[in-house]
Amino acid sequence: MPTRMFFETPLNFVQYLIHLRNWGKFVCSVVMKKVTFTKRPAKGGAVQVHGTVVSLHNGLLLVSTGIPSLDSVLGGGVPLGSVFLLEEDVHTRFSTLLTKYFLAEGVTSGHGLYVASANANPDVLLNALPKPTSMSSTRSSQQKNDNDMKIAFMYKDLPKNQSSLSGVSRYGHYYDISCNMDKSEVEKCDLKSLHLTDEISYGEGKNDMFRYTLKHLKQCINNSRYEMKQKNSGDQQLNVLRVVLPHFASPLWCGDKPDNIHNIVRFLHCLRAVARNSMIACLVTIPTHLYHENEVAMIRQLVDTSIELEAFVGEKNPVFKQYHGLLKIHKLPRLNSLVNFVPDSFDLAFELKRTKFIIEYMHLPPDISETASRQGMDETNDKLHPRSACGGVSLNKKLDF
Amino acid sequence: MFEELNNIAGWSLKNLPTNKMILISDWNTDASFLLHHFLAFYLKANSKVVLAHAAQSFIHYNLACSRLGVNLERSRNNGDLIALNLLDASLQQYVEGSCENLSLDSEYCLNFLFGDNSLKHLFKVFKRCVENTKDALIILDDVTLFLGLGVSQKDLNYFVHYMDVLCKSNNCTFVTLFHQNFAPDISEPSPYLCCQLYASYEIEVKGLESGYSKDVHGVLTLKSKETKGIKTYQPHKLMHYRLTDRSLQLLAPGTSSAVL
Repeated sequence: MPTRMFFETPLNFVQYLIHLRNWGKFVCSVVMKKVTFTKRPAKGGAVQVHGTVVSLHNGLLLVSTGIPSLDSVLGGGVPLGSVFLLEEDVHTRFSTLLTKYFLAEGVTSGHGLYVASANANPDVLLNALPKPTSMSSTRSSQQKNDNDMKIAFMYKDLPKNQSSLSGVSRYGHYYDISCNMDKSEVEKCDLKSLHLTDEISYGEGKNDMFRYTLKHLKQCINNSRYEMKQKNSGDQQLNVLRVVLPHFASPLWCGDKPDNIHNIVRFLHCLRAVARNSMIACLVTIPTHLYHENEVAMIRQLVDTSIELEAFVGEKNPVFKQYHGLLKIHKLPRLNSLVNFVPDSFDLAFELKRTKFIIEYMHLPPDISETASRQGMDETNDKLHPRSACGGVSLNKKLDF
Repeated sequence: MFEELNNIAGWSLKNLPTNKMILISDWNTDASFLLHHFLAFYLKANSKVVLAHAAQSFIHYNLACSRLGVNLERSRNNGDLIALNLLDASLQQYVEGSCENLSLDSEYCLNFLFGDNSLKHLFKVFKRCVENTKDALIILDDVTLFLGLGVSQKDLNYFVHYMDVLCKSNNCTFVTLFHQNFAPDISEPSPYLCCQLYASYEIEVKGLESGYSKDVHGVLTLKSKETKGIKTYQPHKLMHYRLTDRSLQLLAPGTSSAVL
């Protein structure tokens, strides 16, 4: 601090006062920190991975699904080391979209991607990922903020407010499904794919597709930065691998053996074992409507999160006119604690807009429009007329003495 | 440890349910929280516990039980708890075709079931674990999972029968979880009925018929076949429950805060 200061203009004086105030605050905060909260580093060396957030509920690391509304329904995101089952809608339109969101979020967060498909080539899926919106603008605004902070320099190191845009770029992004992501963006990330119908020719080794896939996945994880080691060697930064199995367990997977459900259950059981020991988040989409009720119950038992998309097909109830389908939650992850996260309501519906997919709490449309209710009343009156036994004056008002 | 459940069932740390089979069954909900209760309950009573976990990892049980006041990691190091990691054993067997060099206690070979799809090996492992101890507890965290993995219903019925005999002869307790919505084939005796037959206690957990409620999480029914001191028929005790991270609240139906 200079001992003597000359304030040439009143503005300088004000700045000096602000400076003093901030200095005071700084001293206070240093003192306060000692006494009150200091953020303790996590046990066993803080595991910090980009694109993840720590759940407030049970301390698990979460990754985003790419859809903010789905994240909030799941309690923040998909926990690492868990298997997320998406039960496909009949036309697989919406489930494919959700898969793309999940992958796109992986690309923008810099995670590794693993896609194993027995249907179309995984590249088809990867070439049609939705484009992130406002990425460039948030980044530039963040830089601008950094330059602006000259007076309040001590606040520079504090974490940014989550609700502001700068927070968004760290966890969970927004996407525009009307545009495709740049190919260069996708190629930047660590990409591993398995196209099963390429690897296993028609009519051969069908029954080993499950085992083949799992071995392939395990090989990818072993000795990579996705493996959770007991003692962190410190050289490699841990990263998240997003494993996606689209249209898993469709009839081709199962072959023609009668006990195919056991193969599926066994695979999922082993997938869970792999997931629990590594930094992966699995998204498996299964056409569960092909399976018997009991078999679906078994499949759901072997996954951590199970969500069903029931798209409206054909004529739909006019009550749901603004929605495209219902979202049914069958299971939410119950990991490391006795209770699971519970959303405010289980009546959920989804809607596909031009640029985004959103999930909403479903409610009946409010009946407040005047014309609607009037019309309704007229109809009832019309019906009443022929029935009035006395044939007197028809009642136009409810209370008419 | 859920005190209220113990009070209703008449259990306490000095009066453990021994040489019995306790069946936990659920319907369209997850009753695995009761497994944690038994884990914490027996470890607090200084009994030996064998935990065979096929559905969840050990880390999950360790963290969930730490909120109930027991440290599984420490118990395992002390030798009070034997954890049989069936989840990893299953994976290793699936990928490599054997599970010989599993990082667990090498004396308990876990090459238990996937060779010939029977639970005979698992039974043998359990038997060896409780051979020289008394009042031990054996927990198998999901018995219906084996039905999914390809064990036949007949084998499962045999296994449950043998576990019952083991409990009676070695004075230990067997706790397992059964998901009722895995409806079985009609041709054979249903595994659920078979488990019911051997179980001295059944704790049945169901969701509310009217749907989910924040104040009442479901209905818990305690069915007891015990006749100690009671000569007459003992009715089922039906209660509503509310589960929090550390405790289980049991309420008589219609007395939750949402109703009153």
